Amino acid sequence: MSSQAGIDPRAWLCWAGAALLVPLMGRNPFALASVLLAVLAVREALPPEARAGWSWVIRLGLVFGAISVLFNLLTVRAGNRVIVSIPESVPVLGGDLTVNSVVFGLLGGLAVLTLVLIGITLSAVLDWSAMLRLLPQSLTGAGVAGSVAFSFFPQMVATYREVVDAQAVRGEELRGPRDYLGLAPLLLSGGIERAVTMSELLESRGFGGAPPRRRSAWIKLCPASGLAAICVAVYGFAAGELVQALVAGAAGMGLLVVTVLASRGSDVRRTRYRSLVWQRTDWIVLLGALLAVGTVILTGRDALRYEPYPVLVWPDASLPLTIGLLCLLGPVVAILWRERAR
Amino acid sequence: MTAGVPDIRFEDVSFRYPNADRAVLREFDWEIAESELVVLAGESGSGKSTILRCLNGLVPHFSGGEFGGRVLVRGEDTRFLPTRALARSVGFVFQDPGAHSVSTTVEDEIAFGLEQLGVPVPAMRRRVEEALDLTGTERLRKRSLDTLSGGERQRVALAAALALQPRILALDEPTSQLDPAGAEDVLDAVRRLNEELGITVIMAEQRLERVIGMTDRLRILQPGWHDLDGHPDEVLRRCDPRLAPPVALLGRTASWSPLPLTVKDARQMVRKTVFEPGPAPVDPPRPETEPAIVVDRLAVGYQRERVLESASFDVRPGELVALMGRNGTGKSTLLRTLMGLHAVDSGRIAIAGLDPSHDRTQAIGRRVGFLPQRASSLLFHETIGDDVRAALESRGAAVEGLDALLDRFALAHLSDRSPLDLSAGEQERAALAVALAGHPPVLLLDEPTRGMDAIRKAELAELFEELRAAGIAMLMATHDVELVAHVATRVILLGDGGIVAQGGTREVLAGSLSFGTQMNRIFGNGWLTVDDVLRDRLPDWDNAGSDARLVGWGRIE
Repeated sequence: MSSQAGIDPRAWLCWAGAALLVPLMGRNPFALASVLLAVLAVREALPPEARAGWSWVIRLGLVFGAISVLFNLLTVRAGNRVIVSIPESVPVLGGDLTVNSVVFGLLGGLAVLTLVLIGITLSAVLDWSAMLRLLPQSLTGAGVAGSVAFSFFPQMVATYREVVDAQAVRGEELRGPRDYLGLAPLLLSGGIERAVTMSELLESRGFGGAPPRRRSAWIKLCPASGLAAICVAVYGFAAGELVQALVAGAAGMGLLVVTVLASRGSDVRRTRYRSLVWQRTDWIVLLGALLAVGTVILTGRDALRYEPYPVLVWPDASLPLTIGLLCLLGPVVAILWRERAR
Repeated sequence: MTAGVPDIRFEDVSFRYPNADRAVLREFDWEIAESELVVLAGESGSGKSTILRCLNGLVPHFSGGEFGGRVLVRGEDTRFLPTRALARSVGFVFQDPGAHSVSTTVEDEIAFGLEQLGVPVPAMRRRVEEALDLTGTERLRKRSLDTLSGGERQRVALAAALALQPRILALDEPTSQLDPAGAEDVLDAVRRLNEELGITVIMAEQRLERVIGMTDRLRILQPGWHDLDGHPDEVLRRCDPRLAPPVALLGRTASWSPLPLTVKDARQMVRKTVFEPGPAPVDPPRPETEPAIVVDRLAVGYQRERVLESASFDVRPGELVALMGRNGTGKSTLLRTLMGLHAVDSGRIAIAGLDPSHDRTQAIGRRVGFLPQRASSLLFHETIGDDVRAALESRGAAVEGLDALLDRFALAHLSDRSPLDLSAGEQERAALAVALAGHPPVLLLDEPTRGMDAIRKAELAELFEELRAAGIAMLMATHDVELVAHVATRVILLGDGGIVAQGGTREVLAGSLSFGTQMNRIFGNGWLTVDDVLRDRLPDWDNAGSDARLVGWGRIE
């Protein structure tokens, strides 16, 4: 039942949520570097089998980062530090290529790489079956959809590897973008086929049990409205409207709580073979995540911002923010604690 | 036909999958009595899996498509119950245990369904224990599913289905991916559940020799014709002889009554009728030619684990060498290493004049045909015609040979179709055409008969004979002992860490407990097939007309 490294999946979700805030909201290099370092340290603390097999995703993140730099350099014509001026007569590329655009591209790439690393760390540590067990009865459909989505990407990757191997053994090679595009229908159909198999299995094992009791239309609207309110909250937070964000967030959470409470009245109550036990180490992870989020809220969105345009200046470094973000090292402390106890 | 109260009733069921040209079931009627153990056989695409999926409502609730008639499972109409509700009465075990698990550890996997149905914890613990005991998986309870062998995983899947205490078990080719020992473990558990708990079992299975001894009733689906349904003795006397397991085929030929269904039955009939086989055949000498594949002290493995150590063998033109061994002994890894898809740790390989340590897979692929486990993965062009044309071009063969190659594999009429639109059988033929395009001198095959019906298997055996005669060197990983006995010239047996035996097919298989054929278990010595046993008893046999011959699969009057 427990996820990798013996930490409760709910604690891992809180950690990932907190870690995602910075790369989604700002480009301050110090803040980004703090999160990236924390995530790398967490990955390093995981057992080797949880770290294996994801190098290609990291490479993909690096490729996207490089594309981000190149795209900025070639398309943005703003900034005070000019590298080279290309005559205006040259289509598309004409104008000043600036250091400012390279810096912004680099920071975009860093954010993408951080997001990818958070995603693969979560994929490696999260026990999806434990998550399914946590879902309330009324979210059965979401569970099936989630499991399909969760298995879709790895399955598509498996299909990709299979096709690339098959191409090699046929003496053929993937040459240009056209060849890669030609793989799309195969990858999609292979991924869908395997994901559907997973959802068939869940149904065959009785996932969802008996259908929940009929509910009023208002209750049915709660999950969707709750999620919408949370989206509004995230947007408000990103736009610097903290009060509105907090109001929308509270409303969203409230609606989701109503959904969960309403689901408790269903005909079949699921039971647990082995209950998840919230341990001291889970508190460490949760506390670290809450401290990180708290610091982000207290220091304000400006501390996460960095604009290399129009004048390239040295970014602000906020010591409290850096310290707060390093609280994302909670899982490392928890893993070491458990190992010492053992 | 059935004794007792019907547990399952198909009433006038017709079903067509979405976008399919034709219905897979047409006005299908069937009754299965409580506590019966029924085996469904028939060609791929004949509707075996569809029938099983009707039982727990995956058809039509999950599949979509056009559904007519009704299926009653213990009196309840499956049209009005979702699959998750039917899970209480119908346990379902899928074909591939690796792709069908929802949890990470054995205990959690078994408990998953019980948690979903809200079974109280004390009752749940008892049921998990019972399921572990019934399937012999008790010692695996704390293990992670990733660390289990194929047979162990399939028994865990069985335990997970059983924990819900279903009265009906539907098994979709549960042993198709397993080695003989793993298959026996799973089938033994199924037999006990049927005999001791009275659970009704409906099982789709291609390898009848594995299951026929425990079967109460056999139904062979023959779309467009009348299905054969009844006691195995009665059905096996009337079915296409290629479908009959070797003991039944021998019984048919020798006109024994009752027809033997197990090795034990056949042994008794041999004693009773004082049946004497012809002289024991011996392995033919190896061809005196330069090997096409040489493997010398090869070691390969994964990050921490060495799979093969110090493996040495060779394959010569005109030989078909079978690579056998339990699940996980490195058969597929060895084939992938020969193709340059897996790194060599130490040792030397020469394949068609190339060295996978230095030469790229693409270069090897131009001289070596390779049929992977999922043959359809070889097909990725827009149409089948494009796929075969590209294969010819990559091997530098004349594209003019395209039509002949398509004709050879009965693909000409499918040339403009997308590989995704083909049936499993058509995809297998197309993949073979791709692997053999341009006449490569070496062919590697990774479990080519997995999930293949007996008739297609017989056709494949015929193709192997042709390829051997043409001087192609073949190396085939397989669990299919009966196929090996018919087509292989040599056998390499892999165990933990490397090769444990190699030699002529008779030399290795004769007397083997895990990899023995039914005929060998009856007669011993070098008799492996019905053909071997009958050869010199019927002197004019080789002159018999083609109708009287079973291609590669023994013979019958």
